[in-house]
Amino acid sequence: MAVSAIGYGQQTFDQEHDHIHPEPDSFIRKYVFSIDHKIIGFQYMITGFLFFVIAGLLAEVIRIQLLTPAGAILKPEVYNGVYTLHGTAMVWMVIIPLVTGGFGNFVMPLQIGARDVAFPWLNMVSFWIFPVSGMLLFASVLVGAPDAGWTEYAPISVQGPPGTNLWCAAIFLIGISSTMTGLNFMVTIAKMRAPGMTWTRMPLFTWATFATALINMVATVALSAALAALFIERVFGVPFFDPAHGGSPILWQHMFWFYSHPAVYIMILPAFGIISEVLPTFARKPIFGYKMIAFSSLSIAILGFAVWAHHMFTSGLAPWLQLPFMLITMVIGIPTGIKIFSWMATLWGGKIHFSPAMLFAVGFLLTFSFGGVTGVFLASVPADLHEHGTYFVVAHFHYVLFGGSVFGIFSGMYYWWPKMTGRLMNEALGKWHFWTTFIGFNGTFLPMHWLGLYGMPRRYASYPAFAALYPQAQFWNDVASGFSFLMASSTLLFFANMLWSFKYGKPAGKNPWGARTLEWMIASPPPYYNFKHIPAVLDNPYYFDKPLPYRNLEDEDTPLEKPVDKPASHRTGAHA
Amino acid sequence: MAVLSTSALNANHGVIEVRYDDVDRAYSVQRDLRLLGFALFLLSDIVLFSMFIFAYLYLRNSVPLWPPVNSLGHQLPRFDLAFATMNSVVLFGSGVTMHFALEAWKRVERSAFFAWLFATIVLGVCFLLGQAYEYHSIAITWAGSTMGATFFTLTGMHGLHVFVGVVYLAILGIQASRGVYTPAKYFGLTAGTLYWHFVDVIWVALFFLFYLM
Amino acid sequence: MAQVVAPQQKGMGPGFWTVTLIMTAINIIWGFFVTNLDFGTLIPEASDRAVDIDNLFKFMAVFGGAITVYVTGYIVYFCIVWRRRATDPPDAIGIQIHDAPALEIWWTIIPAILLAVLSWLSVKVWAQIQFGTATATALSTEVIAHQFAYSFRYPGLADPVDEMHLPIGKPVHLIVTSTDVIHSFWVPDMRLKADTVPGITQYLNFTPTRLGTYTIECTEFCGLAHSQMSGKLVVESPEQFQTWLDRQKLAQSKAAAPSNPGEKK
Ligand code: HEA
Ligand code: HEA
Ligand code: CUA
Ligand SMILES: [Cu+2]
Repeated sequence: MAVSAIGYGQQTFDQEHDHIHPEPDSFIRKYVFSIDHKIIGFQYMITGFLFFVIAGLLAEVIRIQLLTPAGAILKPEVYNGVYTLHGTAMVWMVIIPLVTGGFGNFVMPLQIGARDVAFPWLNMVSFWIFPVSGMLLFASVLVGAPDAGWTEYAPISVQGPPGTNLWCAAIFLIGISSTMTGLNFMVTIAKMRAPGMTWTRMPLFTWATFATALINMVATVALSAALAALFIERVFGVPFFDPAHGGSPILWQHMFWFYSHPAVYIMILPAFGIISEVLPTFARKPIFGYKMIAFSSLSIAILGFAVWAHHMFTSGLAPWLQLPFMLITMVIGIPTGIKIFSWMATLWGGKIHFSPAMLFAVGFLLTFSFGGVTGVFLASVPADLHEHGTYFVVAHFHYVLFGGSVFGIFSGMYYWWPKMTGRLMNEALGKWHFWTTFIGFNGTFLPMHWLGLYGMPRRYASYPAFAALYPQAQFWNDVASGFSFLMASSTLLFFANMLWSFKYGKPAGKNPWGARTLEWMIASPPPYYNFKHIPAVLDNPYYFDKPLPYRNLEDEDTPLEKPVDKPASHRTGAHA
Repeated sequence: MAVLSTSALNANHGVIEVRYDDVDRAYSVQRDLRLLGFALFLLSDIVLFSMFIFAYLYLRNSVPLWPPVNSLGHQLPRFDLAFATMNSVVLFGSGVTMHFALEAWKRVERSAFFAWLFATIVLGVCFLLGQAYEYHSIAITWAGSTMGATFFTLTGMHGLHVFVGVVYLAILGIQASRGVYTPAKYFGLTAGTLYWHFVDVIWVALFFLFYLM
Repeated sequence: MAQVVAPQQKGMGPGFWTVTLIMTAINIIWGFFVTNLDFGTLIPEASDRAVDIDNLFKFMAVFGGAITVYVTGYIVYFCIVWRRRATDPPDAIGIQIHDAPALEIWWTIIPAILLAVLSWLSVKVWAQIQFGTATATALSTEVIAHQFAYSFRYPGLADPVDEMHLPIGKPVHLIVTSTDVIHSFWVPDMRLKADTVPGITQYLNFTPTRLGTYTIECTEFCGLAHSQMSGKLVVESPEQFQTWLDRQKLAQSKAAAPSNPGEKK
């Protein structure tokens, strides 16, 4: 009876990490080949933002090129490499590592009251694959950059430049890293929650990370298979995709999208999780519809496996297959809608404080739901016959990727930065960052909707035919480019803010936002062992009118005197 | 001893009683983590094979005739069912011996364990040799047709798994002889057995797909 | 820890219904505007399916617009009304509500209904596109995409030509293929698109309904000159079309006659 009061009975107690290893003292073990999830999370973030700058600058090159219908600066062979690397890097080197490796690593173990992930060593390996594969990807420039877009449709990709091999290898590696991270997180969340943290007491970011890990585990291997096949076809001439040798180009599309549609949910679900933490904290309200939000993450993750062919409506898919894929795609709008409405209801009746984190969260709601609605426009088969392969699609996915994932990342950075570094960022600068990004973003991508509908195809190094078709073609492209420069500059404010906080930021204290999840109960930055004593969890975290639902945290304010390497033989049970 | 014994917890929610022997408890938690991790790893491996199986079925369905015709218009030969059956029996046999090996370990019969393990490794090697022979004697090539592409890729991946398995089992044997495992703690052996059975199951699918279908 | 008392709230808060009313009015105006807008004035509707697809798009624009207006409007309005004021104590909290089953059911059902209607309309248009054209009597023409142009093969013409001509009002049965990599045949003004996949044939059935010259673009990356790959589609009267076809026949037979057979590939 006493046991069920905190749900202890169902939980596996985190005994392995209950004994505290001494902190490593060499620089290499501490900051380079660290097995501490917090350091690894940091490493992911640094590397991810580095690639963000590179991929973002490539985007600016795209926008400069499209200033004139003839193409302003680049020859097509260069332009094709530029957008391919932009898309590839943004998806695999920026968003996925940031949302899973970065936030997942830093936040999730703290939120569940664990001292680390289940397999810290594996975690380190996963991380170090990432910069290696990033370098492989960009090394492709030296031998002829891949040029067929991030989707690398066969058979053009089979004939593509030699860099395509490096592209395959790089993405294969990062895929392995993602899979291992997914595995690690699934075991961590399933097995290492603090006693009393039942599934319905789990913070929502952890829920989202769990759903994401599930996709990572299952879908990413499919990508590895596709890439392996493409690689051996290119190198050994083994026919899978090239119709000239009996292969099927459509097979590549199936294999690629079977991963890449779930991958878009890998990119968005953690952002959903971040939003679900930020909104209640700054609205000073419980998250509305906790269970619905948690389960909708899971249902989105699962439904996401059954919609991949909506990217292939024009590609010669058997017509009778188009309908089920259309219907299931539409169905995903329902759980996503439940989330959006629940977040809106969380705002209602709040005492909303507009910190930069909150601004980005609200911005997320506006832009993501717009991008989601245009996604539904694409899901309708007949409409997609017009929209496919145009800037309408580009507009859709930047609204969900930038307006969704990147806004989520910014929000999460502002939110957890004090926890990560122990210092506050500058709020005024953060607000400037938000407004310039928000305006720049909409100005860049909104015009792309009608550019696409009026007839501008994607992956065009120049658009003479389209400019002849639509008189305002150049005007709207220039508008988009102009705003994109604003958006790029705004990112500088963000980096400036980070630097500012290192120098001038006020100490954050344990819990600067008055948040209620476990990571805020310990020092900022958290000590290397996270929790001196594993906490007990008595309730769902989000009830602002109730006392904090944790026990066993009284001792956390004083740091551990001396690193100890106790054997796991001290009891975790309470004594009477 | 008093990690959870904060007064607040007691006051509000009663005493939590947890009685166990700590060391064993720690082991069982670790084993729990690793077992789930290992199961998930196998799951991801299943997806890998499934994708290539999907590719095989897809390519097979996209031509009117299977085995397909080559560039000269000749239909390719079917695979040698009799030999493959023999080889499959070898592999399945190794699954049985591995099962007995683990059982022997649990019953603390060390010499039986090593004998069964050795038999498993030998059978695994025989299977690999058999496969090498089949690759050698077969008329089709990897790059020659979609049939060759899918066949060599899938069976090659499987063969690689068997190879890794053989090495893995050998390492387990060495570790066992050095006393890494005890009758109560032998997670490595469980994992090895699971892996070996997994490789068997994949072969059932491949056997059906290539030789029977 | 000192307990803060959560504020209570009766009703939806100040101005909620006014805002709802304003947004509803905006949506009604938007709905009228979109339904009465002739899309043909923006982008020509040069085929029968263009009209069907545009009607579908109108429906999506109306309800997508409504969703955007309500979502954006409520969020902005909540942010204004429920912001923390300077007069609020620092530990002030919001209304502690965390569920409202009735509401949740509605916001599951209404989107579900909308999506069901959209699916139904989409299926109807899809069926019209797939089966609505009488292919038996249709003019059957082949589109062959290759790096980096389109060729068209007409019945009765020995060689392909590089300009597409179609008679107005007559059903067309297009057979779409490629000789090298994937391209995508797109006539924006006709809402007509199909990937041209080597090894696969796709079909497009439609009727041109408007005279004029239209641009064909390529919307699947196909190599260096992808962005320059375009073609011309001329829709003309049946008589003009026949004249054009005869002229092509004549030209081809003239071109074929003097050439010696060894030259032909
Ligand atoms: C998460 C993903 C993500 C993100 C964040 C972005 C961000 C941006 N994207 Fe990208 N994009 C993709 C994913 C993404 N994109 C994908 C997958 C494709 C498809 C590729 C394909 O077809 O295969 C694509 C394609 C794509 C195209 C279409 C290319 C084509 O089809 O020909 C365009 C065109 O405008 C574009 C533009 C932009 C712009 C302007 C940004 C901006 O938001 C970027 C702003 C950010 C920065 C610039 C970084 C910050 C820089 C600094 C701090 C340094 C200071 C810089 C200056 C002052 C200039 N993107
Ligand atoms: C973060 C990434 C992300 C996310 C979350 C989504 C979400 C969705 N996407 Fe998107 N998509 C991409 C990234 C993403 N997409 C990318 C990168 C591509 C291009 C790839 C390439 O070709 O390069 C793409 C392309 C793409 C296509 C193919 C277009 C084409 O090439 O022809 C389609 C078609 O169905 C589609 C649909 C959808 C749908 C229905 C959703 C849904 O999940 C959206 C659900 C959300 C909402 C609907 C909004 C909130 C809901 C409400 C407010 C409730 C009320 C709503 C209704 C009743 C409608 N997407
Ligand atoms: Cu042809 Cu692009
Ligand atoms: Cu998708």
